[in-house]
Amino acid sequence: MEYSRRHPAGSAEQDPRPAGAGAAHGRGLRALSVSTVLAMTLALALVFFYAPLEAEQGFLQKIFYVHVPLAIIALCGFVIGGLLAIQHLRTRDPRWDMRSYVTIHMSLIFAVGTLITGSIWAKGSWGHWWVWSEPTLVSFLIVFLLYATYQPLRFAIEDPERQARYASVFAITAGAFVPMNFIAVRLSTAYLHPRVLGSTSNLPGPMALTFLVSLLAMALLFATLCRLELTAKHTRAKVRALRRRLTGETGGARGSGRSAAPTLQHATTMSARPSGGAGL
Amino acid sequence: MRRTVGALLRKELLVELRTLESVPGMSLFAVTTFVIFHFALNRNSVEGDLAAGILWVTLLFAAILGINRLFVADAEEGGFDAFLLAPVDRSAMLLAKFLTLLAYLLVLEIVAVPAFALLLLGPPLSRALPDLLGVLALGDLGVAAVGTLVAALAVRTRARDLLGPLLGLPLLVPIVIGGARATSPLFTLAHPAAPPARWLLTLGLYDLVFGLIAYALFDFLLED
Amino acid sequence: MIAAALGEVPALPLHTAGKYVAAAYVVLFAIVLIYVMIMAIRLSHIERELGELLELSEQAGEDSSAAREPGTARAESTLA
Repeated sequence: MEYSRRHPAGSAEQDPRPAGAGAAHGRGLRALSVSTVLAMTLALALVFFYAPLEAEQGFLQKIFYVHVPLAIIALCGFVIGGLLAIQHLRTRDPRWDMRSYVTIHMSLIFAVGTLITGSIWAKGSWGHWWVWSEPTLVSFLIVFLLYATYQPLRFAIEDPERQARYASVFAITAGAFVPMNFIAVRLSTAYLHPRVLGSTSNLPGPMALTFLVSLLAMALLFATLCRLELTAKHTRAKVRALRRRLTGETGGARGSGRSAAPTLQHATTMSARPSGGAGL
Repeated sequence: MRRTVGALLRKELLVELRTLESVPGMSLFAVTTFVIFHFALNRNSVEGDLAAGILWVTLLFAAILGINRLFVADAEEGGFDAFLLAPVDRSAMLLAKFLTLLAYLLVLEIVAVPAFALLLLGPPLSRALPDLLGVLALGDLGVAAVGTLVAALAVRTRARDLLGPLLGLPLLVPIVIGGARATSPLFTLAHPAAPPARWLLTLGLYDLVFGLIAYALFDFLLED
Repeated sequence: MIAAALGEVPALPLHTAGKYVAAAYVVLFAIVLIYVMIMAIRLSHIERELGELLELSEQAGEDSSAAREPGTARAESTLA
């Protein structure tokens, strides 16, 4: 087993270990995806066959079980993205930046889902596609507008190390902003209108159970999708490293050299261990 | 550290006095915006929520002009490199820029608030003035903290004029909420009241949180 | 039983509310399915690229064994 520690040209990697070569990112995927399927199926069954109808809103209230978990998981995802960014700034390991990027990306998608489902709920409930009196929706709009700048920010910085660093600074600032924003918006609507779309406190037993299972299912879904994305990115990085080793050039779609996503530079050593293809 | 900050601050203010890049522009922008609001809203005088909103929105957008220009001279003329070579604490630059932006905002308000009272505000300003100054001060601290951080983040990217506002405006929404909600009772013709404590606390909390965050993260932006 | 419960509820009738609820759940479904689609596309790209790289490495293997071949031929003849 020989190791040739030749870092690819232009790599700003300070971590001497080969970034994830042989690491099995896909290893946890099977367990995660199985539990996601189980939890989600259970949640849906509970929502439609077990949870009682709510007095005021009737069947429409069932949207609560998809809208609120999406919201909570998206918010947690943004905060977690900030925490991962703190790790990146502390250790300068680009893998943390990759994790932060993927988490924020996925949270943004979940945030869009929150906005759409919330809007559907508002339309069914009030007749308008948008209501300013629902603080969750308003907070999410602001948070969405903020995080929508994350990718353009990354894209506007070409040097990969600086891109990762600046993105982490943004992720931390924005992650601290999320709870702050929630407080401010909730305060501003509190005394104007009563909550339109219902709150999560004072839920009767069966509803609370259904809600918790839905929340768990959404959390598992989030984790699975993030893990899937990370595995895909690492796989592509390994393929690129293999190509570089065989041909000495980096071919493929990213020829332009500019991208908003962090690209992992694998050292061109490939350990003789079978790579973690346990996968799915 | 204090001497460094003092020296940097003096440099910033001197440069501004000589070139007059930021503050006159910001002030003029604010006054012009008030005129535009008059025509856009078709009102001779405003009060209450509307008045508070117009004031804060105008101040916010004028502040964005200043934020955009905050680090531009350093980025273009190598001021960053010169600073990094000096054996001083890097947070000194943050503090100096923060104080500079704060100073710009104060001068902006000295021009804009009387202009607002003259052009658009219905109720007399004198009754509200002490409370208003307090609310403005709290808001300014937050705008300066977040503005400095965002300016540093945006200045060395490709689309710096766009990214600054795009990043900064959502982040500054809580200040607009707190500031406008706190100011609107001051501008009521009938029964001017004190700003609700809730909003002052929100503004204060925001200032604290983001001041600390800016202080913690600024170094990472200056590294190369 | 559900019909009876619904009879008491003053909210939107089922056929209207049902559409909104269904739409909301379709959003969730769509998120997951779009992701499946993206992953499928990526997988096909990776498969294609790995196929190319496999060919490249086989070629490289042939070249180096071709370079060695005259030597091995001689070795075999001496063994005979």
